[in-house]
Amino acid sequence: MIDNLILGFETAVTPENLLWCFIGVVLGTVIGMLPGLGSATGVAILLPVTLTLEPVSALIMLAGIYYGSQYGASTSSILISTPGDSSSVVLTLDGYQMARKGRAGAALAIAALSSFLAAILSLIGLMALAQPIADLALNFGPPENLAIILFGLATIVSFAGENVLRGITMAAVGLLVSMVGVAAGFTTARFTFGSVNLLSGLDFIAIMIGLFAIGEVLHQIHRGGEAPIRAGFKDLLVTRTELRRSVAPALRGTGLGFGIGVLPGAGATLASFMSYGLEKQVSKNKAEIGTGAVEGVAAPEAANNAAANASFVPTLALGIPGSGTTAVLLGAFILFGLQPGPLLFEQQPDLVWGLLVSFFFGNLLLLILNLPLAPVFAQILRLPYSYLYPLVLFLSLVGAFALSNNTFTIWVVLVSGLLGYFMKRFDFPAAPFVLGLVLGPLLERSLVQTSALGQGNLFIVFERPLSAVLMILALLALAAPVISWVFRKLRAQRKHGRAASPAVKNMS
Amino acid sequence: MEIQKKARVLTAAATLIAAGVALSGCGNGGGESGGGGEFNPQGNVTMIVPFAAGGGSDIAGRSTAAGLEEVTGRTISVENIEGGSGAVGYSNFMGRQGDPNYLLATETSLVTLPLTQDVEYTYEDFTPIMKLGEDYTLIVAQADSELETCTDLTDQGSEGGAKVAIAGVGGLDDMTFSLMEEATGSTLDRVPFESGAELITALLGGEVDAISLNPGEVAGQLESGDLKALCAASEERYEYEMLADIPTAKEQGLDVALAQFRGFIAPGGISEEARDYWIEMGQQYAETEAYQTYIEDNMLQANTAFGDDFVSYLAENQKLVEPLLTE
Amino acid sequence: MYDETRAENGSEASNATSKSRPAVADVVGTSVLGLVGLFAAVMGLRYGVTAEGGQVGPGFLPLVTGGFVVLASLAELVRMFFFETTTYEGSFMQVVEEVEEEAREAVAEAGEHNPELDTFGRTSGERRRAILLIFGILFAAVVLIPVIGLLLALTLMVMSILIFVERKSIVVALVVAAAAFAVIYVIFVLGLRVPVPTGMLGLV
Repeated sequence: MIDNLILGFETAVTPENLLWCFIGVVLGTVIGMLPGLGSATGVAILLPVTLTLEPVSALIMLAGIYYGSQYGASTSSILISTPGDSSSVVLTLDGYQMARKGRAGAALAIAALSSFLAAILSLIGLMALAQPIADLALNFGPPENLAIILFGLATIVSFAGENVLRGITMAAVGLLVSMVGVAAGFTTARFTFGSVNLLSGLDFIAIMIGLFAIGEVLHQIHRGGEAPIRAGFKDLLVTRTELRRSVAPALRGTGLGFGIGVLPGAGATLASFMSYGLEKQVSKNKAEIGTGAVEGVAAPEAANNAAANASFVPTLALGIPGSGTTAVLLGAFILFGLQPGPLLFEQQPDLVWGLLVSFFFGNLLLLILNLPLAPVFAQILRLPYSYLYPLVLFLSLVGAFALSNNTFTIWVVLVSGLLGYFMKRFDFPAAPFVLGLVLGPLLERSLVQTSALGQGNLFIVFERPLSAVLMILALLALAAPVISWVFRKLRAQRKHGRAASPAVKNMS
Repeated sequence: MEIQKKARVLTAAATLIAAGVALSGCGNGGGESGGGGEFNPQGNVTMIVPFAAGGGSDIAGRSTAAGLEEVTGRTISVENIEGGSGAVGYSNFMGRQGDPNYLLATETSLVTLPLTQDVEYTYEDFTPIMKLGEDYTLIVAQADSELETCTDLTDQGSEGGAKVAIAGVGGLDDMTFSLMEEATGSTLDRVPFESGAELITALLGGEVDAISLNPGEVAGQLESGDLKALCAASEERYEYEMLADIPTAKEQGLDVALAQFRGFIAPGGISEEARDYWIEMGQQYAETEAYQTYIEDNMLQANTAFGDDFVSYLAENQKLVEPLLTE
Repeated sequence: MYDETRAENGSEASNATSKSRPAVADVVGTSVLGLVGLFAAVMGLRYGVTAEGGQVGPGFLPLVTGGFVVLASLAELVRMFFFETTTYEGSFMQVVEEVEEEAREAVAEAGEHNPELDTFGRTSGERRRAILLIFGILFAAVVLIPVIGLLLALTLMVMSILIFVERKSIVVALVVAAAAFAVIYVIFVLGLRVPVPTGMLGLV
């Protein structure tokens, strides 16, 4: 272990490799901030550029793009409610609310700090326990994946807003939208109406850009817009109280994110949603979450960074990609003539440990960059909204095009923008919808596989101990808030029931 | 030593600037003066891979793109358009009719998908350019599995309890298992996944009894001893040192051998010059070291075919697999 | 799909009574969701709910999810019509409205604007027109992409919004749009080499 670390330091700490690491994290931050361009696209776009480098340098840079974009993605979520990546959607809830309250600088700093904390802790986990954890993760077959996805969907109740049933319905509609196209294991094209563009389904990132970025712009105009934030430089710095409140959520987020991240397929998006849901249940300030609380920033941001690092566990230990981005990275390994697989640690120790040690420096660089930059980025909000929003629209539409190099995506963005506007205006929550959209394909795939394994019997999820436990947890997560909500409503109705608002009655 | 190091740091710094500002400079204009007025596609080229990143098709597509980049001197970016066992990527490619700046990393699904699915194309709608080589599959199981040979697997199937994972309905692995079923009358239950990496996960996790993968996809796990090969579904044993000990299915009494071809195609309706240009580039690529490395790293059989030869190969291949898929 | 005029009525009501929610928007929205669910469920039946051997087929999840949406929407409608509507204390929208209120007060205090106007200096009628106008400009820009190319179309969009919606001077609009164009061009075209469509004119 110590020898390996020394070897890793020797490989990573050369002026050249540190420079590549720096280039990687800077490019990653920029790519992450741009709506539409996530880490997977970023790594794929820049992969050819690195082919002339030493394999170690190239992989260090590519990995830098990966975790760098995790930092960048939260910045645009917080400042302009435009998630750079699906794993940062949750930050548009509390992060954006903090920004509107004049705490943008603090939100950005909290995001950077919790990202750093999560990255370092999960890196230690990755270094120390990659092999045993990876072997453990193999126990997650289709039934377990099915159970954990249902568990993830069950967290909707925590960010569905007051009307839980509507939140769940929105998630189900998100699932339905995700079914457009040809599904895994079948040859039937569904809901495509003969369009080739719809065969591969609706890109959820395009829908996200529409719902959040365009929808928010139209909604701001409708409401008359926000005044530019006039906070002074000092107000943009994070306070001691905010820091103290963030520690526990960030730690919980890290643990949850790491656990979800090691599972092949589940990913950072699910982790960030679930950790937000967790905070909503256990945090001391749970009532504040949703209105711009630091807990709602720290936990999901820590979770998605921990998950990103954890996705290297199966990638390096088993040669099985743990996320879309690590799948592209595995392609890079092969292009460099490296055989990814269980022997990678033994055959290429300098490369693997050099890469891991570079994560440490990369995250340190990101922290050093992001902390002073947080108040600077927050200055964007001083720009009058009448100048800001046309630029947001421009950036969103170009980003949408870059997703698939297809103008069709822009139409998807436009239509979802209109929907997003109506959803915001009439209080149909968008976050559960996005969660359904993201988890839909994963849910269906594991459902089909589970059914194939059970020869048509889906109840094998209850026959396997691990998936049975997860299913019970999912059901509890779904039921507990509903039950308590029902009780609360009943009690409230008994108290205030008779004094219902007459205006409402007239309307119906 | 010192100077060299400094120079490298400088190169790195220069590349930072290049990456940030002007990456496009080197891509354009390069091949313009090459062949004196012959056709040359303009701008960037996109190589579509109709499967997810990380699988055999993806590796083939990325290697071909890199190799062609070398001989054409232009930028070729790889785009994974996955889904529907490849149907989504091919259908998307159909929308690029007449555009010589698009290529697609193809394999057997080019022939099999139109036979099994309701898609609106056949290989005749595209312009086949180059066949890189052929790829047989190995039937592999977990290292501590009770199965030792492929006949063990079919025997277990006959007793009604063999599960196999497949990367797509009607894919090479699916057909190989169909051949095994036909030869023995056993039943192998399929569990559908999307990529080779997912199959290995399912096998290592003990969800299924066996999978069928190209040697290049499982070399890492075979070498580490996590997986073992039951048989090779090929006509003859492999010559590669690592695979030479694996018996063929035929040796075990199962007459099962099925090859997957790999290559790349251009959209239909492109000009004659464009077609000739890509064939010429393909031939140049086949001479490069990059091509050799790809073939050896992925343990393919290097039998190339270009243009019309590739077309007639496709016609024969279709005749071969048609009875397997349309029963 | 969406009945806009009725939705507009709903918002009038919401402006008039700031604390309680209008039921019209809820009823229309919930019904739309229910219809989407119904469509999906019916299509799911057509796609085949089960595959061979009683396994999950391509229509299974559309049917189950669509069916759930239908039931949930019906339950919502029943609750809305037959039970007293709950007050939406602590809902997301209310927070937003409070923030909005504060912003308006802050602006009013500063004395720069007539309190009836918003931070853009628009009345509520003008705001409604602004949204329609912005969406029209967006739509026009996307239609123009195949003609003049992606970047030019969107630059034109920024300019039009600044001139026609925000009533900035042509010089200001030109400068802002040109700067935006330059930044986006450097990042996406030069840096990331995104093959942006140049349109029939083949300009940028």
